[in-house]
Amino acid sequence: MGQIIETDVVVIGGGMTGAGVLRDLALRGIKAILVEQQDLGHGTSTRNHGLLHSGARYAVRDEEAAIESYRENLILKKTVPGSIEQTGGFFVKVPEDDDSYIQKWLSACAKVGIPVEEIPVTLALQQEPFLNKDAQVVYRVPDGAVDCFTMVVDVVADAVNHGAKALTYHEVVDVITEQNRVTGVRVRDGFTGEEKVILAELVVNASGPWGAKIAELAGIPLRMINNKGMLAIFNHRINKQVINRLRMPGDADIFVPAHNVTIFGTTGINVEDPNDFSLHRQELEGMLAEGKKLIPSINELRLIRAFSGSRPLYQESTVSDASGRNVTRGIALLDHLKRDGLDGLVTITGGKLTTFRYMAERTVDLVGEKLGIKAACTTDQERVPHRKAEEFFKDVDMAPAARHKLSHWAGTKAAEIELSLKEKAANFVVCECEQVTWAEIESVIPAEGRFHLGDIRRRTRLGMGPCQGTFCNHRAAALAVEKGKATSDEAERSLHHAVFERKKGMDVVATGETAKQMQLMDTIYRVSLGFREGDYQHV
Amino acid sequence: MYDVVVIGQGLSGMLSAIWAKEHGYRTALVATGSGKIMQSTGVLDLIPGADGGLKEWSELYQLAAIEQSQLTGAMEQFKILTKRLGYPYKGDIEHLVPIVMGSGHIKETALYPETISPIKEHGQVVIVGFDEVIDFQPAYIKGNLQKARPQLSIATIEISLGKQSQRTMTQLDAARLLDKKENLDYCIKQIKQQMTVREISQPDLFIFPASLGVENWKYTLEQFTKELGAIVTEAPGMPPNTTAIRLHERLKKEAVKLGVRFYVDTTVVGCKMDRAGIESLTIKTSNHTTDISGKQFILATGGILGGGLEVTSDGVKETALELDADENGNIIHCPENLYPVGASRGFSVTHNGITGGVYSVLSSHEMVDKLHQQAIIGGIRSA
Repeated sequence: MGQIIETDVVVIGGGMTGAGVLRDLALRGIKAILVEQQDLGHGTSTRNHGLLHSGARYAVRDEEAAIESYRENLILKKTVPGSIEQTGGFFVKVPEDDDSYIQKWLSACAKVGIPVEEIPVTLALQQEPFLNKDAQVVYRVPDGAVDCFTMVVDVVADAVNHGAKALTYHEVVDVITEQNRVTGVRVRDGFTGEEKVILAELVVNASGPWGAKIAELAGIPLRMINNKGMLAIFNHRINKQVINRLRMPGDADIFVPAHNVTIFGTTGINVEDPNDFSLHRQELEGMLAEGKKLIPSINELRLIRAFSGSRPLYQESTVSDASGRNVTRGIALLDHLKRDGLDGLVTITGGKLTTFRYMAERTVDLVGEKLGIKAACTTDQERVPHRKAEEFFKDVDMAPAARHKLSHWAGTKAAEIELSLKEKAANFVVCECEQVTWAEIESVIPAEGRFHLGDIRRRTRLGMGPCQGTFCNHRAAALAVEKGKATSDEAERSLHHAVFERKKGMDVVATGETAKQMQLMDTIYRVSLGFREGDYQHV
Repeated sequence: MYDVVVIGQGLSGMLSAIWAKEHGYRTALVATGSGKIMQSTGVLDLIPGADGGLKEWSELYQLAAIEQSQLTGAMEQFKILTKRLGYPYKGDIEHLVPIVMGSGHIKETALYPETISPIKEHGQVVIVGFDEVIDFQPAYIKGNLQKARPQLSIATIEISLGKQSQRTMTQLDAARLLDKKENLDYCIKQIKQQMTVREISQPDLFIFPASLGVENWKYTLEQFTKELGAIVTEAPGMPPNTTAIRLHERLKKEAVKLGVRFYVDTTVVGCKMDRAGIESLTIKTSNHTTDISGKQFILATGGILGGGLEVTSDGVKETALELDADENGNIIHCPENLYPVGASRGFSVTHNGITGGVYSVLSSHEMVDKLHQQAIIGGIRSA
């Protein structure tokens, strides 16, 4: 038996919900450890649109989800400002859409209290030139864009700053129970293979699509509906604000801007395996055909990659809705003592990215009640530190575009990065698409030295641009060896994994320029750099 | 009216134009881009990105019909040409040699310029990197090379070119600096210093990035070899590689010198056909559209990577003349006077995105021969 750690609460799952729960616990002074099988945000939390819902999408069909979304929309804009762009959003009716839906939608939004403003179509077309010229009615709502990568990382970092702990690449291999009571979990370190036991008063299952697996380890039944959606990314930002179809929510009817790109989606297909991230050309073709109604030039735009993730939907009674569209996006907070007679375990699931904070609040309220702790939630007021760092990097010798990026990005790491930028070669721009310097890469490599290009990508945007890491993944790996941050084997393994992962997302959209880019990647790695097919175990 | 119009200025296009001109044909070359030699490593592989000799290559590329004499003839012609251009290639297709790349991995290649020397199993090597060049990191290269060559004794040296740039400096930037004697001397001095101070024993081979001068490569190579007292090799890697840029620049100069008419930054937007085949191409530059007529046309626009073939959601398209292609990238009804060369010949002759230099040379040589035969038979010969 390996190490034994004791704490008050174990949070399973390093997605947005788990991150929110961890931070709420920490702010209320409850000792907690988060365990995540991969990296933070590995699952659904970074495999979505990045849409900060105003609630308007759910107003007609799911009033409760709409109310929660709008309330949380306003709170998150205040409390997580560094990860949110207040873009606003359009709801657009095109000729194909049902006329009668407009009134239903308007009155539902009014009932919930979502501010809706009609925009003259000519003005809408001026603001969004890619929009269908045949649009009939356009309304503006307070939708926004969320950077899921920074939000999950920042929320966890703030929790850690308040005394919590987070263990990534630690998979739960057992839920320890003693006489109808969960007393902890056994986790395995994905890098060393070492197992640890974490004993706790309470375990929170916030593992999203993996929720059923955790429940199974605890010996209780939990039926999740994992509803997989596919999304695709354009090589540049085609819209200033979010664009939605004004109709009952369906497939391929949302375009969300994200920094310099636009994310387009989505679909909904129920899958069994939470690890099913498969992508199908046919599904994409369907999306493009539908998306064309909002953005007629969609087939001429370049897609750089696609990805998929599963919405963890929960309904107590079994339903047979294959599309998953009719299952509530509502929150499910399950006290397994009441539900299954098993004490010490709580499951939080369902919900939306937009409502993660509220989900965490309710969960920690229940945790407090169970542990007899009476501390009030403050996450609706207390801010996660902003990402802006404009007072830094002014006197550093570096590429202007990279300076610009860091001054909007470095946040709490600004002083550290500024200092290391003065070291030899640290101001080199490693990733030219996203203007990532070595100093920034170094700042996100964990102290224990684990080198993982995927983790670096999620924290710096390295390799997220149109070249999809063709140049920068190799540079980052080589520099890591050069600077003693990785062994030659670690660098090679991570590089193989990174290239493989990028190609998976590119393959399904590989027509035109992206097909070319994929071949360039092959040519450079195999021919110019002499790499051969490796059979490394992917972490 | 041209006798031969070549579309594309990659290796296949450039060689086709030069050889056609050498046969005495009035030749034009139309190109949209800068040609894919620029992104290559400047060495001629058999199967790009994979191991395998002549047998594996001809099986993979379905080259059963090719005669050995044709193959060796084409390679000889390439060597003669590059020698004349002052950038001679050595090696042969029957005896591939291992060379070290800018990643430290080793690949086997057939023909390579004089700035490259094969890597041995034993002995002592020193890898020299420049602080300013991000895509060549000596310790990283050492790690990978050591795995492939466990018996080599490897040391690394990092020196500075003494120049700063806010842009990411490439191997080519370094090469242009090393064309100047003062920069070259400065580098040699630093290497000698480090060898002495760190007591690095005299190696058999020095490995540099593909940066040993562009115009003055010969002098740079000689100076390094003489002053360092060992064999010196370039290890090409992440493009741009100077090994390739030298070839591109010299081929282009030669073509211009011979009298090939270049239409650069020019896109073929259509063509006129008659029963015998293509009559003329409609070409478009930034300010005007015009027709150029020809008797024979060589399609050297490349595959997917080169832009000659495009994957669309409706299948594969040939981009220059908008001819129909099948799912393997083969043109379905190829006009009689159109000769596809290199990667324009479909996916069966590409591997990891490209054809490999040997195939490009062979197919250009073969096509020009064929076109020459046709011209004689057809009586449309002009002098």
